[in-house]
Amino acid sequence: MSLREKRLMSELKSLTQKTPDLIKIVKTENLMTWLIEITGAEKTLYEDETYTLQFRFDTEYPLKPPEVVFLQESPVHPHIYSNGHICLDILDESWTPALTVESVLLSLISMMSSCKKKERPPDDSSYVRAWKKNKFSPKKTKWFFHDNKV
Amino acid sequence: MSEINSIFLEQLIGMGFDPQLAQNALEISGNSDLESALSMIEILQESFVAQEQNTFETQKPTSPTKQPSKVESDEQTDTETSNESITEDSISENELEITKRSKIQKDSDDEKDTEDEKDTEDESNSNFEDNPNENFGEIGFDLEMSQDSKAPVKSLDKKTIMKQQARKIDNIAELFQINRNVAGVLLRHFRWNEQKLQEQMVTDKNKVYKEAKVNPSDVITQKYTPLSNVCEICYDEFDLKDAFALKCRHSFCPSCWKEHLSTKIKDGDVSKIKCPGFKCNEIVDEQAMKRFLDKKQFQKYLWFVAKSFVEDNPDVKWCPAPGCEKAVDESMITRGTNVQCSCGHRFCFKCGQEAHSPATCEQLVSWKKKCKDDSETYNWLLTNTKPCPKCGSVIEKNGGCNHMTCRKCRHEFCWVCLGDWNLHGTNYYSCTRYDPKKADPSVDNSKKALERYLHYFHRFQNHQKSLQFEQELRKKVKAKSDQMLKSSTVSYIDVEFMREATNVVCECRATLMFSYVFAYYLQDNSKGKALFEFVQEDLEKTTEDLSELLERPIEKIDKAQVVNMTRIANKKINGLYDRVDSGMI
Ligand SMILES: [Zn+2]
Ligand SMILES: [Zn+2]
Ligand SMILES: [Zn+2]
Ligand SMILES: [Zn+2]
Ligand SMILES: [Zn+2]
Ligand SMILES: [Zn+2]
Repeated sequence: MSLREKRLMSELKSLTQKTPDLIKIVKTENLMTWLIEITGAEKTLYEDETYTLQFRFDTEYPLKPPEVVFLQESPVHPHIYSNGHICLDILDESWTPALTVESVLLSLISMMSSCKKKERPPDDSSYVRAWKKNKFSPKKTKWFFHDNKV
Repeated sequence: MSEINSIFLEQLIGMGFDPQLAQNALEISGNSDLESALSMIEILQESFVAQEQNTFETQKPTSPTKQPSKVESDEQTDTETSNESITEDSISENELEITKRSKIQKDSDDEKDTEDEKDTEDESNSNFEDNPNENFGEIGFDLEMSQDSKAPVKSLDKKTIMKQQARKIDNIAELFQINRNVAGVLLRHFRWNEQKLQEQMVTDKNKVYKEAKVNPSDVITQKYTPLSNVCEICYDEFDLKDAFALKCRHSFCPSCWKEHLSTKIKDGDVSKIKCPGFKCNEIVDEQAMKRFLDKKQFQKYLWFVAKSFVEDNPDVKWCPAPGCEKAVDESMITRGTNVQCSCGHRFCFKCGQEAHSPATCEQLVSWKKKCKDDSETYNWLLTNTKPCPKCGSVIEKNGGCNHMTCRKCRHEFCWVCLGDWNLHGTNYYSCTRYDPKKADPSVDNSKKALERYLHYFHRFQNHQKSLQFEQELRKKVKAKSDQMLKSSTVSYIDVEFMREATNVVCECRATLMFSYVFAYYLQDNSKGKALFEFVQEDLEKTTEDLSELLERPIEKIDKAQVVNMTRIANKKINGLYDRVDSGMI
């Protein structure tokens, strides 16, 4: 069994046995693609709103980060583009193999919880326009993380 | 006998030395340091030349990253060379910065070097008399020629880069009695400025350690055990007995360490490989690399580290020619900021663009932008063909020389000014100098400005075009040399002068080409400019002469004449640079 399979099996097992609040595993028919729902935390701008995330794990997982995007409607947030791409350092250069699906989910929830104003990234329209042309993966994007607090 | 230091051995092999030779050298030199091993290798190589094998790595090298050099210069002088394009660029650059966490498919095109402008203080024209009109009557061929045409160029290849890097590390490690890893981190922190590092170490060691974020007591032999026997990556349990950990003691099994490190190496992401623990900043040292990587990967790692020697070191630059893996150092600058790599490529040491001295990097950027903006509209002025001024038949320029002979009427004329070539012998001023007084006073300023620009652009492009025939000229010269070799008893050395002459013609053309950029940014009425133009014209004349000598049919090539003219041309290039460097312009 490859490292990827081994990791995904144990991650899935622990995640289903003890699913944290606000997280719901929707579909994992294929071990390499997971659909997960997250719900905005109480007393935040996203309270009671539910969004679907798609995780895709390529052969280099967990040495390389998974590809994570919001499906359909993505939350309106300064670091989330309207095509579902997310600007989050741990999905890019700050990824380490010690991180997990669960830690990504918790980071996303925390990123949404600390948001003060629902708005798209300033370059949303140009980015999405570029993306529509050849539908590149967010992992192909060169992200600049100027601010990790919001 | 002392045990062979395997790290040194690997490094020597990585530098391309034969493993057996490396081992012998280490043994004989007592394993003490890389430096002595290297000198031993040199001695051994000399005595057993035949033994030397070039076992150099054949793995496809990743192309060196070229970083646009950033010249720190706060004082931008207020010559007319500062220009709008640069400010525009920096504005859009700033906008990018403002966009928080924004992404962009960005091609960093920021060659906005701020060049130290020469002081424009006026100076006497004392150089004038002894400058270009010197009598070159009977100057024979001498060895000096090849010296002033170009300094002996020897780019730094893979081996030399690794050697120089290892030498610096050894020096520091020995001087301050610290281990090589720490020495490496310190040197990288000081961008390989050994002297500065030494000075600061002497002043305040602890401050240096703190700034570079190293602990001198980080001894490689120190062993740490993981905090837990469950791997944080694969979640398997592993045997703590042979387990490895960095100082942070994050727990990973040997197989995951291996995977993690090989992935980093595969991606070329080597600058600072850290512990895979989340947010852990512990750097993985050479020892750990050696432990987990296979031989080929470890060699690759060593080469990557060596590359930082070039990339972090402001005195060394990669040659930007595609496929060339060599580096050049500051000492190889020939004229202005120009360097020539031993692969033949000429480029600017500061900005990495084509060799553009005497124009400055800043002028080049501004000029290129100007040409781009204006070229489309005025393209028609600058075609490759012109009608013969006498009979009107269309002449196409197909050689580097500006001396044209119409095929039809045999009229000889100058390609630049279309004037009669015979008149050029004495009066070739009109080809190089733009005279604003001659311009029609009734035309408005914008038209004047355009005319002024076109004057320089036309001449710039003219030399550029001639330079493009360089390849062809080289081929022709090669063919001629071969023919000479076959037809007579001359040896290879005897036709070397042709190659040399071609090289010089090319350098003349490039110098002239950019001298028009330089001149464009000079004030029209300055005294320095008149002098500069004089020297420029003079070089231009010599260039045409030399170019013409080379284009002659083989039986008419006179070696003494070519050699002499090459020497003169070289001297005149120097003369032009003297004018630029004298600061009087
Ligand atoms: Zn493991
Ligand atoms: Zn760690
Ligand atoms: Zn080169
Ligand atoms: Zn330059
Ligand atoms: Zn004619
Ligand atoms: Zn002319």
